[in-house]
Parts: sequence; C-alpha cells; structure tokens
Amino acid sequence: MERKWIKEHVSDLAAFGGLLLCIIFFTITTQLKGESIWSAAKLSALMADVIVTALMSVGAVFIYSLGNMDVSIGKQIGLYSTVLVLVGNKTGSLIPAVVICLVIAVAIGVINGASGEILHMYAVISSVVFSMILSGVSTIIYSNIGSRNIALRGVDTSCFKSPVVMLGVLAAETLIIGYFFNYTKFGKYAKAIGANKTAAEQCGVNIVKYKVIPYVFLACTLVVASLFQMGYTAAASDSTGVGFEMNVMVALILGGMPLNGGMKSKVLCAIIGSFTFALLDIGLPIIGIPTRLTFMVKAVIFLAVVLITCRKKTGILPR
Amino acid sequence: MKKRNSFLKRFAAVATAVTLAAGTLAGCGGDGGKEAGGDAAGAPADEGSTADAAGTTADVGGDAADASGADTKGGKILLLTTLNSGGQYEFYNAFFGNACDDLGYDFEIVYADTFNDPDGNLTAVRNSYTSDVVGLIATVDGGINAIMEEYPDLYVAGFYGDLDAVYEEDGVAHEVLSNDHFLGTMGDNYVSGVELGEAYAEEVIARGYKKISTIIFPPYAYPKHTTADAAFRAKIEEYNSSADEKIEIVGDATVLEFKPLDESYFLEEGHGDLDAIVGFCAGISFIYPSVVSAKAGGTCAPDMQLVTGGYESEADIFADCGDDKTIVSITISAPESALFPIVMLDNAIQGKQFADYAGPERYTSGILAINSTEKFQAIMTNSPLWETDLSKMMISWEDMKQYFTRYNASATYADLVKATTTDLSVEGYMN
Repeated sequence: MERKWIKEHVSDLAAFGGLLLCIIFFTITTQLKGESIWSAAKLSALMADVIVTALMSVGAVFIYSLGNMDVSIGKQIGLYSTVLVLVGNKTGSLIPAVVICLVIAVAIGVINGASGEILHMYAVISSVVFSMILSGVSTIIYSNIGSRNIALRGVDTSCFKSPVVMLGVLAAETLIIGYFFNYTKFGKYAKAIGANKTAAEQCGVNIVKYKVIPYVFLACTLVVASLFQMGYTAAASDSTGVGFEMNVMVALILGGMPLNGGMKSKVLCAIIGSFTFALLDIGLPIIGIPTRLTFMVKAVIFLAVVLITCRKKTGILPR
Repeated sequence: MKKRNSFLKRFAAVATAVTLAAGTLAGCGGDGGKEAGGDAAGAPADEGSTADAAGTTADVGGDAADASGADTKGGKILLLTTLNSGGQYEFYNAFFGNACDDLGYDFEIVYADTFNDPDGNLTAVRNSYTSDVVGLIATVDGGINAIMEEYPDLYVAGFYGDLDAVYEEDGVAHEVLSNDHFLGTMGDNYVSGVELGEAYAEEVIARGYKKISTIIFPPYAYPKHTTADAAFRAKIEEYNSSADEKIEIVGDATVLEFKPLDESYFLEEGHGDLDAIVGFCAGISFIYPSVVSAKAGGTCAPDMQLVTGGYESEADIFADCGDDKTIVSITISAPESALFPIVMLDNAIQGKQFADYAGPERYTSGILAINSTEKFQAIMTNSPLWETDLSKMMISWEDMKQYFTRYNASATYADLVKATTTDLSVEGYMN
C-alpha cells in the first residue's frame, strides 16, 4: 500500500522534496558563509526573482494540462511591458494600458487556442508564429523610438516592488486559477482533453471552446506578470521577456508538472517549481558558486528531477 | 521481483543524480572572487591567463599588507559585463581580479543581459549580491538606476560602455548622474560619434581609397554609429570638395541587426569592387568573416580592406592584419584605461576621494589606433592583450598605485584622467 502510494505520488514527492531540500540546504550553507536566505533583503530578492515566473507559470498550468505549450510567452511579456510604458507615459495612468494589453492578450490567446484545433496542427506552431510576429513588432517599435530601453515616467510603480504586494497578488492569482482549474469544468475539461482528447470529445466536450479558454486564463496572467515585470524597474526594452517561456517550462517541470498534460496537472506545480528555481538563483551565489557555474548546477538538478519523474517504460518526460 | 528491481533502479538513478549534484556543489565551493583573477602572489590567472599579479610579484607583497590593514575596508567588487570571451575579456578579468586581490577585495564577474535589458541586468546583480558587495563596475546602463536604487550603499563606476542612458539628458537613467555613489565612466573607444567618424574618415583619406561603403549597428541600439556615419560622410564630402580624385561612398550605411554581414552584400550593386568597408560596428566579428569568404568566392575585390573596431586574440586573424592585408586598421580602447574605475571605486570605498573630483564625468578611453603592420606586431608582442600578460601593460601596477589616494594622499583626479585617456596610445607598446 505504502509503496503504491509512493509510486503514485513520486513526482509530487520529488517536487516537494526538492523544494524542501533546497530550503534546508541553503538555510544551513548560507549560514556558514555568514549570510542567510531568511534575511529581509534575501527574502525580498527571492520574491522579486520569483514573482514574474510564478505568475506566468500559474497561468501556464492550464495550457500544459492540455498537453500544449506556448512559446510566445516571453515575447508577449515584452510587448505588454512596452505597451504599459508607452501608454502609461501618454496617459499618465496604467489602467488604459492594462485594458489594451488585456485585449491584445486575449486576442492572441483565442487565436493560439483555436487555430491548432481548427487548422489541425500542433497548437505550439501558432505560438511560434506569434513569437516571430511579436519579435518583429518589438523591433519596429524600438526602431521608431530610437532606443533599446524606455522608461515609465510620472507613474508611481513602487507598489510592484513591495514583497508583500507580490506575495498577495501571487496568492490571489493562485487561488483564482486554482479554483477554476480544480472546481470548474474549465479546468476539468482541460485536464480531460490533455489526458485523452478523443475520450473527452466522445463525452461531449467542446474541444475548441475548452482549448481556447485555458489560453484566455494564460492571457490574463501574462498581463499581471507584465505589470510586475515592467513595474519593478519602471522600464522595458526590446529584449524584455526573452527566454521567459523556458523559465516557465523549467519551473513547471521542477514543480512536477507532467509535460503532456492530463489529470495529474496541478497549479501547485507552478508555485513549487518557481520557488525552487528562484531559491537556486539566490542561494547558489551566496554559497560561493561562480555565476557561470550556477547554470550547470541548475541543469544537473533539473536533470535529476526529470530522471526521478520520467515515465519508466517510455523514458519520456513526466506523466 | 520485477517491481523490486524497478524500484532499485530508480533509487540508484536518484542516488547517482544526487551524488553528481553534491559533487558539483562541493567542487564549485571555492571563492568566486579568487577564481576570476588569479592570485596576487604571481600565480597565473584563471581563464587561460598567463599573467602574474600585474607583474609586481615581490613589490606587491608589502603594499598588499598595507592595503589589508586595519584602516582599510574590504568587500567584494562586481564587474557587470556582456563580455564573456576574447582577449579583452581575459585581460579585464585578470586585471580587475589581480587589482582587487592586491587591494584587499574579492572580485566576481556578473554576466549582464546580452541585450542590456534593465530587468535582466538588475536580476544578474541581485543574484550575485551578497552583503559584502561594496562596488560595481558597470559596462552596461540598462537598469543601472534600478540597481542603484535597490542597493543605495553600492558605489558604481561605468566602464567599457557609453552609458548613454545615464549621460543623455533624456536618458532613462539620467537621474543616476546626481547620485553621489555614481563615480563616472571610462567609455569604450570614442565616446563622441563625431570623433569616431572623423577618425575613420582620416584613415580612409590617408589610405587613398576611392570607393568605400559603411556598416553600422541599428540606431536604436547604437545611436553613436549613426552619428559617426554622418560625421564620416561630412568629412569625406569636405575632402571631395577640393580633391582631384573624389572618394565615392556607395549607398547609405548598411545596418547589421547583430548578425554577421550576409555574403549577398557583395553581390549588390557597387559592392563587388569596393576598395574598403568602414565598419563602425564590431567589424572583426561581424564583417571580417564575410569578407574572407567573399574573397575566397571571388565576389569582392581580392585586395578589399577593412577599417573597423573590435579585437580578437586569434593568430589567424592577426595574420591577416597589416598594411597589405584584409584588416588594415582597428581602433580599440587601451586596456590600461581599466585603471579608472578601480581607482574611483577604491577611493570612494575607503572614503578618500580625490580633492579635485567634481562629479561623474564620462571620458573617451585611451585609444589604440592600430593601423600599420608594425602596430599590429606591437600588439602581438608587447601588449597585455595578446596573452593576457599583465606585466606588459604600458603602466605597471606598481606605477598605477600612485593614482590611489590610499597610497598617495596627493593623487589627483586630473592626473588619473590623463593617465587613463590621452596618455595611452599604441605607440606605448612600440618602445
């Protein structure tokens, strides 16, 4: 019985265990270096490091539960950050900018979600196309501006630097997304489609509709993440968001998310993975690991998690 | 039994992975600061450096003791840079590493965001920041205001970059100029685009080219290149107004979006028989390989030459540098200009700022205009860039100490600026 339970929850144990191990390890080792990850400064740095990845990842759980992934996440964050600065400077308020971003994000989400099913192609293809389009849009915007960086002036963004606000917004988003994911048909159908699309379809699930809705959830979380991304430095650049889609993927896998979706998908994976990733970011340099080597250490840990959680028979990523 | 074996296999795999991770952690647990710069007692620096402690092994010992005395402050100095390889990276790594070691600081390189993204740079610093960090040498300006806001006690000096975001009046980080912890900037090469353009124009005129083209990086990323190109064209136009044989500049400047020049460039009208290409961008990396390929393919003139910037310590490239070779002229910063930021930081950290220091200015670094076979040879044989040999610096570390107020109470800011800018030239390696 115990062995069966362990077998069923091995990825959860690995994810929770990994985070716990990181906390214990860095609590002890940073003390030896005369530092502490529990100091106010380090906790603040941890929240600043984790917030954008966590906000994105929580929304992305919906997409990954479908067995899909969205590689335009980084470019979307870049575009929304830029729009927030440009419109914020024009209007002196972030509200119109947020509305514009939401409209763009939802439009992109609907196309991303629907195109795969309607055009009978992998959903990731449309996100690749959007990634390229948004990259071009970014180049045009910054070429016209004549600068690689733009700053928001006249709008107070200090609230986005507050660890308490970060924690509050992350908790609220997690609860909202968690509710929709676990207790409504949006989440249940998404997981069902990820587990077995044909079976879900045979049960009467509208595949297009319930593939689009997860992308709309993601769109909303990306706009929230963009607010914190831009708000922390009150600036955006032509490279804002580069590689963020990989951060999301790594965070979710570290958190034990099955990459091909299904019923074992959990919102908590995003939180665990994001904090584990951020703890490594903050903790490794403190204990004296040169910056260049921290990537290698993170890669080894990432590999270990994949090794633990991979499917035994096929050897593919977590399921 | 089968299940048991499977469990054992999985357990073994986990154990192996954990052991590997633990081994890596244990192996990496050294002092990051020492890793970067070698030691001050004369051991070769890491990263392939053959340098000793600024060539001052015996003498430094006594002073190092002074530097780490009870009345001197230590800590860690970070170098935030986009460089991660090449001769200049090796030199700066070794120079700052050894200098910090001798002055009693730890040193660590922090890799900036490749695209100078404000949040990327801030995150890079944040992730490397420990409570003992006291200074930052910044080669990029993205997010420098956010970094200084988040770490108000941190002293910052600019180096190897223009930091336009700080110095331009409408720059996104202009407020940094009024922060008393920002200590000024030693630019990379010419700070002024006009000076850069005119210097290249003079080189073209002197070499007697009659048909040339220009290449720049995008204006939104490197506005200086656009300014330089305009100044270059104005200077050539001025020359043409009185010259018997005019210089033709083919078309507008070609903009490279941070990708190497496409070989189809030489198939475009007027580019097949160019005398030279003037590359305001890092032409050694972005133009030269395409020129070599075009010459091999016969799509450009076999004697076409390149006037540009950038530096690579590679024998193959240097073999093609000189009066009758492909790369006829390169302009780079004198490596000894790196003295400026470390002096400014040390003086500030020790609370012994120059009496004549008035505020954070930006300077054109010492310029190495390497435009003859002899000068290329001098760089290879006599400069610290080629093999990261710090003993070959134009100013020895021992002599550099006179610019630190901790060693010389009467040291002046004016002398430091002069020593790290106009006093430096490639002729310094030719004696």
